Amino acid sequence: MHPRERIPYSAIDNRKPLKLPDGLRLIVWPVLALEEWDMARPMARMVITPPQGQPMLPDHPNWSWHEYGMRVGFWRIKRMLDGLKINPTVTLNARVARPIRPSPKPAPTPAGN
Amino acid sequence: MHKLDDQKAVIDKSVAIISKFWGKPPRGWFGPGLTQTFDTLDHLSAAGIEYIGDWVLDDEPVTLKTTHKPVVALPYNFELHDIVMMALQNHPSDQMYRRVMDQFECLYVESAERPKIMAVAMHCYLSGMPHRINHVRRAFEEVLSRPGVAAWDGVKILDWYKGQMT
Repeated sequence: MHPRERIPYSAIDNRKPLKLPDGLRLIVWPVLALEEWDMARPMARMVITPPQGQPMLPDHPNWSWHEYGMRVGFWRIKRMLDGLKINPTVTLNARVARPIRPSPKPAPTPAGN
Repeated sequence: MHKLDDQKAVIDKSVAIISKFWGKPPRGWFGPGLTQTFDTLDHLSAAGIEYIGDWVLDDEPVTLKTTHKPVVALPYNFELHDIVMMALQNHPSDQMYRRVMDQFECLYVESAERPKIMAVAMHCYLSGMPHRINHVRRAFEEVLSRPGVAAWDGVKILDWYKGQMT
């Protein structure tokens, strides 16, 4: 379906304002992404490009960069969010939820929140 | 999503894996790279998904028609987003702080007239780096210290919006 079939155009200033509870006026929505990249395929993002600019598989350097995020970066972000008493939305590849690694303890609140 | 042979099967499998891991089904969906085809929303709705973050077309939640139940697009954005800012635009480490504050100051003024929602997207391999984390932290600290500002997750925003629609 084309997006226009899913939702008609609507100018925000012509709508009746929604109302937040408890005197709130602005909601911050933190979204934290957990990713597991497939070594058999090109990496989703590249922090470093290979010499001569030719993509190569397996892409160890960029795979290890994302793995650092899961081994270290995630826990650093979790400490920050816990310290701020923020419960984020956690988005994840379903691959993250498969038992391919020891389950992190304490486990984060997963997907869809 | 464009390269999948059987999009519906992959969506159903992803939802099943996450449901088993979490103990209850996920209510929201962010596509890989925020991608969708013309049919994706219909498959998501059929799989029980109630909201998406892939459409950044408004400051407020909006309801999208599907071939099944309607799906809500929550106001995510691609601007306060570490992949866009750091991996694609190659900004310095403090750009997250500066851009969050600039975005916030505009939205905060406008929120006197109508509620505003400000999403901030983080990835472990970017925002979780030592040279970035404190800029992310002080951005959250400063915006959450202002009167009338709170941090909610997607489901809380969704349930509030659904309550507003009834």
